[in-house]
Amino acid sequence: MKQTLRTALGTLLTGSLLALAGAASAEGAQEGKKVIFLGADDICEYCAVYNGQIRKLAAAAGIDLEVVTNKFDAAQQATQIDQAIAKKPDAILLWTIDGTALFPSMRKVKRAGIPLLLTDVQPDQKMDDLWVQYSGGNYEEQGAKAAQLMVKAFDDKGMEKKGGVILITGIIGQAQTISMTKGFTETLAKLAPDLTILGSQPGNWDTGTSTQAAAGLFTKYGDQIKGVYAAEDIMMQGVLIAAERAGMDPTKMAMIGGGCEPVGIQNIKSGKQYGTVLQSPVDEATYAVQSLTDYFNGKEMAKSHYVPHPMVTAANVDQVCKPWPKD
Amino acid sequence: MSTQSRSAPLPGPLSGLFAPARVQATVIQIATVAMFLLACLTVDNYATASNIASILYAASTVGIAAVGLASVTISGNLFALSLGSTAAFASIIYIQLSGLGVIGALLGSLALGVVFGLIQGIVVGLLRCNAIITTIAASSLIAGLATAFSGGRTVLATGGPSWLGNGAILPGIPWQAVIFLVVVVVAELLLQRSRTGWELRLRGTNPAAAELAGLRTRRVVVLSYVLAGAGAAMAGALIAAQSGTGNMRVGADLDFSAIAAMLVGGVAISGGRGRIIDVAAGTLFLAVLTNILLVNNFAYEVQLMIKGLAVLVAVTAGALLSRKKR
Repeated sequence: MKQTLRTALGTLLTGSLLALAGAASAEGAQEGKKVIFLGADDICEYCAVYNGQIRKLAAAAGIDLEVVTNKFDAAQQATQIDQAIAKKPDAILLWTIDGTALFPSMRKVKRAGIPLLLTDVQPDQKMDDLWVQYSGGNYEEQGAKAAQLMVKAFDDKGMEKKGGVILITGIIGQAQTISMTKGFTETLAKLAPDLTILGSQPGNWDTGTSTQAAAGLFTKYGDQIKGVYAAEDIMMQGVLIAAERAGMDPTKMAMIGGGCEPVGIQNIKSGKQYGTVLQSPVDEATYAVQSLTDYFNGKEMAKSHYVPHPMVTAANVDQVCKPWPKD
Repeated sequence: MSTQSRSAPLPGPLSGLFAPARVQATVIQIATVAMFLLACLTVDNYATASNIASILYAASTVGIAAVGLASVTISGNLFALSLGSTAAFASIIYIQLSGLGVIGALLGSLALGVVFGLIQGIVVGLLRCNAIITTIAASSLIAGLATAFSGGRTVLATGGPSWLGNGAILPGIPWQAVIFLVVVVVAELLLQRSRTGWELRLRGTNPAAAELAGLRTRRVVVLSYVLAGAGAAMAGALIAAQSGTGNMRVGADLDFSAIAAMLVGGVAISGGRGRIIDVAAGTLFLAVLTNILLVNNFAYEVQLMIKGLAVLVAVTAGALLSRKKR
């Protein structure tokens, strides 16, 4: 009797384990897969947080992730892609340093039969047969949301929607700079046609460069400037420094940044910056690992999978802008 | 008569200014003043205190780094290419130590620059390694250490920018410009009026002869790298003081900007020739030009072209005039 019971229990247990294993293989096909991630150096804070998160999340998903970075050098990344192809990974995840210059390298990846997934920078979608999926920011939407925030700032501060605004952009020619500027200018023209864009200068994602650029525009246009859109909070910090040096009160202007970065949160809370648009490196890394997991598990994948970009003001900054993880 | 007047030498002080070795520096100094005055007359709001302060803020940080770099170039070792990474690390240290007050944080940053400069000086000056390769390797090492130290994160000062970052001694004259002036005067005296400066210049003119003559060539080369490290670190600290933030992006263009300012000013790339006051003039020339282009809202690509062309014209004119006079 005991023997029969033991046999029956054994059979049940084995069956259950086999069933669990089957289920796991259906959802866990990514485990042990070799993926090479080609990204940007920790030299930029956003990149450092992203790199830390993707290592952690990939490890948790069981993906064998090799991280290869470079200092925003497209030529070096092209070489890194060649090296990655030679290693024959199960997939390549690419944060393309230059959305256009790296198309030949992407073609090489395709010819080698290695699936390519993109993160953070979305190149021209006419070429989307080269990659499986892009996951990350929707920069045109971010620019559009910034324009909406600009209009909201004018309303909230009781300012007439007339006069000039200036733009401090990222590096000229980058895909995200082009898309953000397009989204902002088109939306602002629709929502507030009497607001004129007086000038635009690159801040190169850097506080010091943005300070100089904004100072030049403040000198030229002075009180005509009612609002500033700086594509990243760290650049808005430079704008605020320049405004204060020029004797302008940023609390009485429509100052809009981007990213929900620590310095942006500080400036929103102090009232110097009206708002920002969220782009989280944690979200982007999470979406990228999800993208890899979906691919290895054979799920149907859309060409683009965008992270959320909610608008942020002092009213919701604590709810939306979560502190970036320290490790 | 006319032939005589064409070939007549310039009067005493002017002949010195337009001597072959000085002609480029003099042309740049005149061009800087002319450009500034012209902009004051033709561009609205140009001569305001805030715009002058903007020019001086930009010039001070690049200028201090360029002064340190000039000691390396004048000593005959071309360039140090580790200025940007040193400035970035120094910006992080400055903010991390901001609780100690401005002076404490500044001294901490300077100490960092001195240590990195000393290491490079020993490798180049005492161990005789290639100067360019050494500083490229040092740049990578310093950037790696800074990234490991900060985790790649931006560090924020708790109280925001300090008096060093946005304070002014007079309207339009920020404290940072005063520091730049002090650095220029001290470095000019060191290079022109001291035995060390004399040895540094002779080492740059002819390293082999300087060594045979028993000059302290190795020691002055080490010193030149210490000065370059200190200059880069001070530039990084001043940039951090302006924004109340320190990160790895600080000083991203510092190597190129400092080299351009120094060469435009008239320091000879081959070593031995050039004065610190020339470096200051070159820095101001580029700062005024950049500011004019920004204030006129020129497109970025046009700015790049004009700045590149100005550097090219200045260096070419200097070389041609110098050759003609010779």
